[in-house]
Amino acid sequence: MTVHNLYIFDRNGNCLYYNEWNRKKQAGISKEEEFKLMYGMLFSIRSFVSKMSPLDMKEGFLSFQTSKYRLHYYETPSGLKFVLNTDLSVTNARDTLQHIYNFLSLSSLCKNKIRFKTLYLFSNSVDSCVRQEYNLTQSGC
Amino acid sequence: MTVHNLYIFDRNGNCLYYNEWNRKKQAGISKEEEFKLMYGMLFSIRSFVSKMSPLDMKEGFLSFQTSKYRLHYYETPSGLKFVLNTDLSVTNARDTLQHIYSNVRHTHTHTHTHL
Repeated sequence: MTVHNLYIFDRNGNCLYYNEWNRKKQAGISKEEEFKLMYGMLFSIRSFVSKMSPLDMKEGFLSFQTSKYRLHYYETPSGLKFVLNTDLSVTNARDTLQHIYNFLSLSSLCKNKIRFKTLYLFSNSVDSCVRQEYNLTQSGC
Repeated sequence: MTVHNLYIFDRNGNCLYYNEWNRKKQAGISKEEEFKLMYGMLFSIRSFVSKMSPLDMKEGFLSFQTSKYRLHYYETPSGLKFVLNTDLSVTNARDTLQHIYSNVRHTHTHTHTHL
């Protein structure tokens, strides 16, 4: 079970958090461009998936996959967007991402919204959460 | 097991075939617009998926899913693109789409349709 990387966006598209535990290939663009591309593209995908749905939608886009990785999408009621890339052994990351979000919500960090001075602490919390949820070793596997 | 609909595009984005077997909601745009949107968006998704991949890619985008349906993508060596929407019980449509392609190709060997 491998977790590659995780993005957390707020409802305005700002990337609040990014970390990678096992990434072998970079996007070839600056991190700023990468965050915009990720957010923007997921926005388009969600809209497209809903429009082209052959059924009435309840929830929208959840994940996509290639032969090597799966991208999971989870949006909280407050509009935070979690984007997690894992290997194919992770079929549904929703519960995990929900746990991470709940854990963060309980801590005072989220109660006060994410301020820059607490970003470092927030960062470590998310990292710990992900490692715990997926039993990651230091190498990220 | 439910199959909703199937699109087949040629390598230039023309929709060669479309049929629906179980579609409860339409896209709200003309079929022509729908085909363009489907083809164009999948083109973008494939490019995006490849660019943002945390690993070196072998094959690219294969499918995506919602809580209710799954879209499967299969591209033949000749550039034909199959897009199939099913319910979630269909996890991998690749073999099926490959069979369909083989059958269609076999059937049309003697026509001038370049598949």
